[in-house]
Amino acid sequence: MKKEILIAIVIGFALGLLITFGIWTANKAILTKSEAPPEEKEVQEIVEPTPIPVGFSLNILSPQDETLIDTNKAEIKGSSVAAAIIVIVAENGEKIIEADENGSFATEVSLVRGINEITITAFNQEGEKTSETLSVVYSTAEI
Amino acid sequence: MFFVVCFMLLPRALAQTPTPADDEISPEIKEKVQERIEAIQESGSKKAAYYGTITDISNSTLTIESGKGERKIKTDEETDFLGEKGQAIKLDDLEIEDFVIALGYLETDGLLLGKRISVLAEEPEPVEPKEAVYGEVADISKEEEVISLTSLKDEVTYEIDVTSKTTIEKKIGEKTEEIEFEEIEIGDRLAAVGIKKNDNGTITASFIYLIPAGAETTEEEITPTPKASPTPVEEE
Repeated sequence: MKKEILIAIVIGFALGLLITFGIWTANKAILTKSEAPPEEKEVQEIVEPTPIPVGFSLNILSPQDETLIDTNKAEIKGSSVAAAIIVIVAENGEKIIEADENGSFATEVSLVRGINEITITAFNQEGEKTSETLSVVYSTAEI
Repeated sequence: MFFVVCFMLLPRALAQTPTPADDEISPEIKEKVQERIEAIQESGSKKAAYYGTITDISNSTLTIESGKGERKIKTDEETDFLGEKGQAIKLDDLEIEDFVIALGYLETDGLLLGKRISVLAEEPEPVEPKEAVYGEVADISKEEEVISLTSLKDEVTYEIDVTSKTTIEKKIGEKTEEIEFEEIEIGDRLAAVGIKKNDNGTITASFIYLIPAGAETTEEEITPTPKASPTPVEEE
């Protein structure tokens, strides 16, 4: 009887060791697998961020190109570099303004009925030039 | 056995990577993302207008050639068509080469759902292109009211013709004031816009914006460090 108990204990101990070794091996494999991607992720995080234009640029926030405006004035809002000189040529005349220290600018221009082509040109302090032309239509017709 | 298993699983739970804090995202990036989101939201079924020459009419859809490329306008039973004199017409009355202005709502992929399509008698004539220049005043002819402006980037010299119709403005503090031609000096920076004459390249300015010499770097103005005044020594 004692011999049988002893054999059962030994088998049980061996089985326990086997299961423990199995779990340890599986756990190690999972850890190795899950630890590897963060390195890749780190690399991706360094490479992937959306590039923010740091150089000279002109971004028109409003009005959007090819838009329909139902008032005879349009507010031109946008951003460029700090203290950029902004030249706006509209159908009804021209305006020259300066962007603020953040590069933001806003001004109002008069529109003519129908087709309006508005050219916005920005100059930075080094004299570099960039421009964009907006095509908008002024109409009070109900649609 | 139970403890051994628990002990082995424990390190995994502790090894969780912390979620990056919101503070790590710079305000500039947040602002740019917000602007982009607003622009995308605004583009959903917004009012839009296309104009150009009809190049194709098929399946109630017009294809026009605008100055910005090919545009498609979808029409339906609710679309109003107007002729050259403003009279009501039908889709079938439209012809290739007609110049139209289409008002409607923007759908996906830049397709315009046309609500009102007007035919123009003729394509509007392009306005005389205006040129914008920016540079430093190299010379001034007070008699002829001509400014020689040297571009800062490529040192090209432009002749700026000032007329009685030219508006000249100067920034003083936070305001801009209209000034006279005589106030422009050599060394000032200015931006000018006007019509370029084809014969000699002179620009007849309609608007001039003056930045007096030394005022062009307002955003980087450095407050002079106050000079240390000598400590008064009391005479005995």
